[in-house]
Amino acid sequence: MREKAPGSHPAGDHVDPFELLGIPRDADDEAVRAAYLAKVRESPPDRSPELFEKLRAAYEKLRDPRARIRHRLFSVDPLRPFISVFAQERPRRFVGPGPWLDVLKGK
Amino acid sequence: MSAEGPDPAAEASIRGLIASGDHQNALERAKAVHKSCGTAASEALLVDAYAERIRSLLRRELAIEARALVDLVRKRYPRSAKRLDGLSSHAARRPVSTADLVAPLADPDLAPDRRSAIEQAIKRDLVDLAQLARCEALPAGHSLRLAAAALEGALAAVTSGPVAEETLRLPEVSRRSPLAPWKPLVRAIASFYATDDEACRQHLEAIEADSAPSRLVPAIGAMLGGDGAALTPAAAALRAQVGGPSEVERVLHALEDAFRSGKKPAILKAIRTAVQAFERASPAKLCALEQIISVRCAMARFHVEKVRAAMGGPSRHDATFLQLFARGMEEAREPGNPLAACAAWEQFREAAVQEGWFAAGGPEVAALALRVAGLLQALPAESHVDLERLMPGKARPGRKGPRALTPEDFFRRACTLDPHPEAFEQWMEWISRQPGRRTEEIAELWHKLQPREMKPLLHLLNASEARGSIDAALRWAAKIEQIDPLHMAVRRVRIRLLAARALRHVRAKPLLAERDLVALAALPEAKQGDWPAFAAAGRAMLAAMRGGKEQASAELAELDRLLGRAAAQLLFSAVAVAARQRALAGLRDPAALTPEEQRSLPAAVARVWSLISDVGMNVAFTKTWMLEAARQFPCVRDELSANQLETLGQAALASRQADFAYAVSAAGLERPGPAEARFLLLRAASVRDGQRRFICTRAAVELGREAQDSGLVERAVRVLGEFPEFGDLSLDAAQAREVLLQERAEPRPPRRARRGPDYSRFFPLCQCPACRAERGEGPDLFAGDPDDDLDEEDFPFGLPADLPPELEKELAREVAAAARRGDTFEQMVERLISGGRPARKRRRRRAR
Repeated sequence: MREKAPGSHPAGDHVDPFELLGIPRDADDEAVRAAYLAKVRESPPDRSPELFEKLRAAYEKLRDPRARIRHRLFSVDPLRPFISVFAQERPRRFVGPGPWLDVLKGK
Repeated sequence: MSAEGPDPAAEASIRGLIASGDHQNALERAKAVHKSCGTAASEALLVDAYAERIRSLLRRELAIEARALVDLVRKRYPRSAKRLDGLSSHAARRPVSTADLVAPLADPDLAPDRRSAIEQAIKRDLVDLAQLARCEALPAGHSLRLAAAALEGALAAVTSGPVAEETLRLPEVSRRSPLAPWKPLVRAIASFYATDDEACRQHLEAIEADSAPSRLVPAIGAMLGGDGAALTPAAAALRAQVGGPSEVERVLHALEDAFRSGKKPAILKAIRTAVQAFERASPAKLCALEQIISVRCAMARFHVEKVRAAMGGPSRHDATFLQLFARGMEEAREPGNPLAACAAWEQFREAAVQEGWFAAGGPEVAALALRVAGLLQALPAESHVDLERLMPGKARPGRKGPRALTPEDFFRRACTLDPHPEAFEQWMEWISRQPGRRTEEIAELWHKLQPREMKPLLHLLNASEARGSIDAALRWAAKIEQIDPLHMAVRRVRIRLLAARALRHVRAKPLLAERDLVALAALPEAKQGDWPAFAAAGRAMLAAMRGGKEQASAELAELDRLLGRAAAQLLFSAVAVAARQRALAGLRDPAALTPEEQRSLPAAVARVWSLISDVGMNVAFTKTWMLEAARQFPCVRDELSANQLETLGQAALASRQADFAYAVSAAGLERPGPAEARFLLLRAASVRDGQRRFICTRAAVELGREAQDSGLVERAVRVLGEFPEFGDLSLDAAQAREVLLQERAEPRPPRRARRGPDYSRFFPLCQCPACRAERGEGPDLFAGDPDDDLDEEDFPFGLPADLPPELEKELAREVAAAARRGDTFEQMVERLISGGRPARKRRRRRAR
């Protein structure tokens, strides 16, 4: 079996390209392209290099119908961490800086 | 360390200095003593001296420096660290306000070690960013205040809502700042809220362990599903407010950790726990969990019954499962798995169509077929039969036709359902590797399905020409021109095809040959280069065959005008030979040429060779004319271009004039430049010595790669295929240049007395006894016929593990003596066993 670093659960590796571009799964070529360009305008490579790379990778996966089909059929990852497959709907609550600083202050 | 301590007198002296408060001298002397003794006692003495130094710092209210020194001494001398316990807590109790702490930093002339101690304290102890940001003890624009303000803002932002990446850049905080550890903390919190747990963990790992922000690492780790047992009250409260992992999350983390451990009992136990937790808390997702567990266990080669027992039953085998299973078999990469993946993909296809994922004849099925073809083609052909055995034998409703088994079946399915270049190219590439198969079959199908696609037509055109099917090639050319009348490849090849067909028709159908020549002459390309000369030569030959002397003379005169007499005669002769009109092919003695015409022979040969190569004529020039060209060559070699030289060399080789080709290669090698590799290849072809041919060709490959001459590299690699005995021997660029220089220094062809460069240094040494003896080396006692391995019958005793050293030495001496005598291993053993008399001849191998 493929080994991963101990203690790591790379949920971040499994970003769905449809979600990243904000498009439905039946989007056509034009819709994919338009969504990609819009996202790149929001996050250009000089301001957000990491996000741009992810957007580019997502676009490559979806840019034409055969690429979309290949993604739908073959991107399933049996080794995807369980936690990322069954990510809980319960959100992580924003509580402001106070409780975080309390920990730092040793309370 | 030894048990001996420092000199008692020295120790007493140092302790006296400590007692008197002279810590500086005490420390210096204690260091010297510890350096020379290195004992536990000297270390304790040194630490006591440091303790006095620390006390003096505390007395002078330098608590920061005192704490820094305590940390340093504890780290350096951990054995004696306890001796500082009282002092470290004393130093820690001295409260230092932020303003007091940082105020000295406003002084640009502050001593470096003091600055370092303060910055260390900031990194370790400062938790109130707001105070630092507003601290008036530092100027408003001080980098620390700016950094603190930026971090304060970023911390508030990431803990209050989603943030843009811009917020996390924090350019105000440099890498060397004592506040640098806060950056990964802020990013970790942002990743945590973005549920990017992997990124969060990476940022947490980047927080320095001895920094203030590291106090949050345990709490965040617990919120990511780690151990939350030892959290402080504030950390536990934070976790409760933010939301720690649910029961489901905890069991999933535990399940993942169990799989990662690889221990089957632990994995099975974790499976049981996870299934039970999902049954309670998330029953709707239990099926999906079981399917993933089943696949991962299959990848890890678990016994299927044990997995089913742990889950309380089998998982559901629907399209989702089959898709996951197929991918799992692809990923696991164990023997047998690729075939299992193929079978699974086929089953997935059937199930997915049944469940309505996609249509039976849609592009998804084509994509699946291409995938399976790709997997199958990497397997041996005999394993394809097993594919059928891996799939259930019963017919499934809706499935029509026989079950596909071979890569061809799947390629055909893919290309028929969704014809596109990528699929066809993969199919053609696979076919090209199958003995006895022609890629034209696929190209024709491709053309049938995509009539306006150029690639199959071009393939068919080239393949027909390569087979010599000129009429077929011309038909494909016509089809290409219907789609693209100006296609360059067709325009280039049509003239060549017409010329080749004209020559073929000359023999049996001179009227058709005439028609071909008329059609050729009408092509725009036929008016370029030396094509008009070819047409004239063809017409002259036809006229001569019909007995039309006047016309023949006129055409020959035109030929002379176009090429010059020497080249004209060469071309006419070559065309006659190609058309099998040998009666017309005879050439006069070159001595009949004028001196000027003789001088022009090398250039003429190159020119005519170039033309007849374009036509594809496989004709050699007559020996007398080539000898004359070789005789004239030294006088004109510098007038010829590199291209002319190369063409001349090829003509010489085709006419079996190896020395002439060698001379041409020498002329070419003298000219540095990108064509060096080409002349090195010509040099290789013009010598007979196998090693030299191989090395020159190898060097040509390297130099060709440097010059990015892919055509040359391709040709040279094909030549290398003729030397299987040299295996994968390669040259690097420096060695290739060495070869080039050596060949350049050999302008004359090899002879018995002058064999040329010795390249044996590039080849591994032969280890046979004869070659070893020639080199003055003894026989290799442990080399031999690989089938002649000694076994226990041949070597009746083994060396005991506890062989006394004296005997080992004696044995080593015997081995060395045997090597000097040239004994084989068996002879040495026989001598040892028999007490000194070697075997006269080798024992016969006993039959196995």
